[in-house]
Amino acid sequence: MRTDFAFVGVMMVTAALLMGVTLIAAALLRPKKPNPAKLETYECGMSTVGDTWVQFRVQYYILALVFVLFDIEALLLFPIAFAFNSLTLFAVANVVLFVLVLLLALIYAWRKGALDWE
Amino acid sequence: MGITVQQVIFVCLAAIVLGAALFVVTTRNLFRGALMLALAFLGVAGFYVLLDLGLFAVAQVMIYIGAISILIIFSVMLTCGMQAMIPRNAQAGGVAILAALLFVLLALVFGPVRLTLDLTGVPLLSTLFRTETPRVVGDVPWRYNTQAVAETYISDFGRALVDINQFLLPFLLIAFLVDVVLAGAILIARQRKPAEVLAEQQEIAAEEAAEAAALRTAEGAPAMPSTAAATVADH
Repeated sequence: MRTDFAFVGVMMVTAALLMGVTLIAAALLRPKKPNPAKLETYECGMSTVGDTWVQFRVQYYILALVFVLFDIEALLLFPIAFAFNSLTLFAVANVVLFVLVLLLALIYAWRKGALDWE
Repeated sequence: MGITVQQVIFVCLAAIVLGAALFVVTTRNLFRGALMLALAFLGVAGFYVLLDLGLFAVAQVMIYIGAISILIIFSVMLTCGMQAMIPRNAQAGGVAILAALLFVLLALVFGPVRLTLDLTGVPLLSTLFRTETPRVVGDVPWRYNTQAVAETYISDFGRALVDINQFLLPFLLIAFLVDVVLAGAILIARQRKPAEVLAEQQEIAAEEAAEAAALRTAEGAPAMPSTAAATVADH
């Protein structure tokens, strides 16, 4: 198990090193002559107007919450699926109840139009 | 006692988690704080891997980084003027002292330090704590489970989740909790009816037109044709 995750660790360290070495080497080698025009945000060569920080639609939050719903569902069903061969009927009925209760939330969101994107 | 690879990895992970967590509580930029919080969560996932609990590491990444961090980042992005605002915290000093005290308490409880409190001679405290003999604080004889995690821990966990003598009630309560959270969020932030949206748009257009008219009168410019005014209002 741990050796499997060692590959993940090696991958993460390698990724960080690739980025870090590139950025640090570039910072050391490049000439530094900043001026206001250079420091502007690049937007297709035009000068940007106003603040870059815009307010996002609140619907993203609801979609993220619906995602959390399925995230939790998937995560909790996974170990149960692992033990599926040794489950009692009562346990399976409870799993179905769990899924149905979560489905209720999805149906509520659907009925209230929270999933419609206008 | 030699230093094992696991200890080195643990110290590196602890440094990452502590550094990221310190950045989260000290930064003034909430967005960067949220990103660093995700890094701290990733470090905690690393701890789970060190404990041989791959499932919980994946859960940490899926739930905390994949969902909770995203929710926090969304709420920062959804809040108007969050980037321009510089949040100030007047309670920082007090909280720092409290956190330090909590750390000392945890170190006393979990660490190998052994303190003997002799309150028998102290007049008020001896009656308050009812101590005839010196009390020992710290060096609690915790029973550590040094056995390796069972190979079947995932299916054991799955069985425990749906076992009525173990975690069935919390398991079902999670579903209801998520239901309530989603219903509340939808109630607060749901998409309004088209009629409501239309009324609001008309209101905004009227306001903008009034503003433009006020601007024109202030500048003393000749009145624009109504179609041109409408185009200005649209923008």
